[in-house]
Amino acid sequence: MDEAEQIYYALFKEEIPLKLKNRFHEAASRLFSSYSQDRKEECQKAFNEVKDIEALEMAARVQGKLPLLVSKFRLMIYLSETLPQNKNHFLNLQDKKFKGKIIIFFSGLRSVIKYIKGILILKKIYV
Amino acid sequence: MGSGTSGTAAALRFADQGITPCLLDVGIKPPQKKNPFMNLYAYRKKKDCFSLMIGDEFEALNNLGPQNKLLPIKLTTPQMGYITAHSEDYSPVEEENFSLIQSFAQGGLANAWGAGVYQYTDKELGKFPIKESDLKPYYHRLNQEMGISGCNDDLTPYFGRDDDLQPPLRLSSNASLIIKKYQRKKSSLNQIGFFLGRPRLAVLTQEKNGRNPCRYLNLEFWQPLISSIYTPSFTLKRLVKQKKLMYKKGFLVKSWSEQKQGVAVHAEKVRTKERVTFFCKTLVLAAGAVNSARLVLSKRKDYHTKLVLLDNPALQFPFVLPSRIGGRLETDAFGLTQLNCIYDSKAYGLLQGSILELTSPARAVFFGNFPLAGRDNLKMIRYFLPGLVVMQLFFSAGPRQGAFLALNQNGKLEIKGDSKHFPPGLIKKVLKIFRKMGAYSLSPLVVKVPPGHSIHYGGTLPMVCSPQNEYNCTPQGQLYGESCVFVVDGSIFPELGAKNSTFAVMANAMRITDHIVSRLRKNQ
Repeated sequence: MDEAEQIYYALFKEEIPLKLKNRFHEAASRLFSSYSQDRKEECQKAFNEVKDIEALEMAARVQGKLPLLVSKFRLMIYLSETLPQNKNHFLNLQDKKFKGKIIIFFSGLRSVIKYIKGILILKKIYV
Repeated sequence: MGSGTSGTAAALRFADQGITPCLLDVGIKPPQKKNPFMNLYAYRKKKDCFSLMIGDEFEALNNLGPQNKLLPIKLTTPQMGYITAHSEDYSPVEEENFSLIQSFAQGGLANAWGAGVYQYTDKELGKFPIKESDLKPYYHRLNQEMGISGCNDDLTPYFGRDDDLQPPLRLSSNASLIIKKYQRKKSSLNQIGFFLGRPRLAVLTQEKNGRNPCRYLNLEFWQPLISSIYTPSFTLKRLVKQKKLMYKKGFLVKSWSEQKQGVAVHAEKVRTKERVTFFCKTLVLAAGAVNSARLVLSKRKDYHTKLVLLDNPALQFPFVLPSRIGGRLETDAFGLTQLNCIYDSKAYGLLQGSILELTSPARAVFFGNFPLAGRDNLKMIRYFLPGLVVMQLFFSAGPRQGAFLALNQNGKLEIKGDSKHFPPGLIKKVLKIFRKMGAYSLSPLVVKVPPGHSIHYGGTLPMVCSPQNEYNCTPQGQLYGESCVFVVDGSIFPELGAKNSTFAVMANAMRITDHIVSRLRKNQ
């Protein structure tokens, strides 16, 4: 899987639509070309070696590390939002007050686990 | 010169007085793109929104590029890009701890404003050589032109009474909850100097001058020149159509020289760089606080003087309303200011907050603001965001807190800002007040707005009772040492109140225009 496929799958657990993949690569080449070679290499290493890229991104975002990886996740979010088939990932168009609160509670728990995992990956690979 | 709010207000007043002014402007117009003209969320259900939300040149992703200048979100959206287009070419700047936003668009930065229109009271005009009563008559005329919605409520002592308002906009569910709780605890909140009420907005709720009322389409971030939200372009278009204004588009004014009969204005055609000179009886500078100052410094060939540049310091508070978590996203809300508040205390002075609904911007903008893992942040966007509002709390700005602006020999403006230190204890106090209204937040989530991003600039050429140097103006806006040059924009405000100054700047521009007109008539 290339990086666009990996990020999209980590976020949506689905295969990335082709036009989104093309847009991602074009935008990334325009926006991120000024990152140093070191930054590009550490990011590439993450995509090559890490299975749970979502956990690594979270730890990196919170710790202020791997800026290119973090930016690529944000780029994917921006681009994904434009597709009508993704609307349910972004928009809550029905009242789900009870369910919503439960989901947020469990999302918090899941994120704690992801964070710990991400920190371990970060230490293993980048220290 | 300049077609922003002040230039347009001056042009309108000249036209009212039977004089046809000539307005020189770069005047960049919005791109001719297909607009959705329907509710944002109805559109998003059906269409690929790449062109609308990202742009064919990936404009909306500007802030992700590590080398790019950070812009307020609204100015990054594809159809709003024209507002700041070419500003670095026409007005190059070197900034330090200040992020200047400039516009050379027709109508200026007001093409993306929040449309807040607030009168200055005598309290805010304390260091001005004018009084509230000097501006009062012009507010009424501006209301006729723009159309203002709102109501007289607890904020009237701070915003001024206006009996000619259109009904206020419909409140969002979040804002309704906040104001209901405020009503219940009003007396105790008022005792500590806290007041909440409806904003005064140049947004129509009823048809006016051929413009439509607000349709609650959530397009505020996505579409320029929405008919219900006033921008100076509407007035310019009308004045040109009625032959009450000569609008010369595509000219960048470079300098001027006073002559026996008036002023020679030296401009450049932006397309061809050809030099052109216009002759006029009186030159009215309305290029904005930064570019009017640039012109004056350039005219004086002064590469040493540092002028004060004011901008309202501001804090951004995110507030969550727990009962709205998991609630339906309001797809038919007004996507800008829902409520205003005033916090008037001895300890912190007079502060004003604008409580904003978050229904218009892209959801992706908020991804980085939540601290969870990617998939969980998406859940936060979906279920948590509908219960979130943001308050922008503005502080007044005086010469002691301002940035400095100087011109260097290469023609670049150098702007040096200073990190604003906010009063200790204030954030906790504000959070406590909002808790009483059922809105919760935490101190670490409060963000300092970057210096320059309030986009309320002023103070570079202040009006004072007795001008003492060539960068002062008289109370009538006349630039010291120049007999036929007047300044009408925010430059001449010696202080900025803790609110959007646009309405007061426009009223003041009209006041100065009346003075110019009577001077011209006397000389005839």
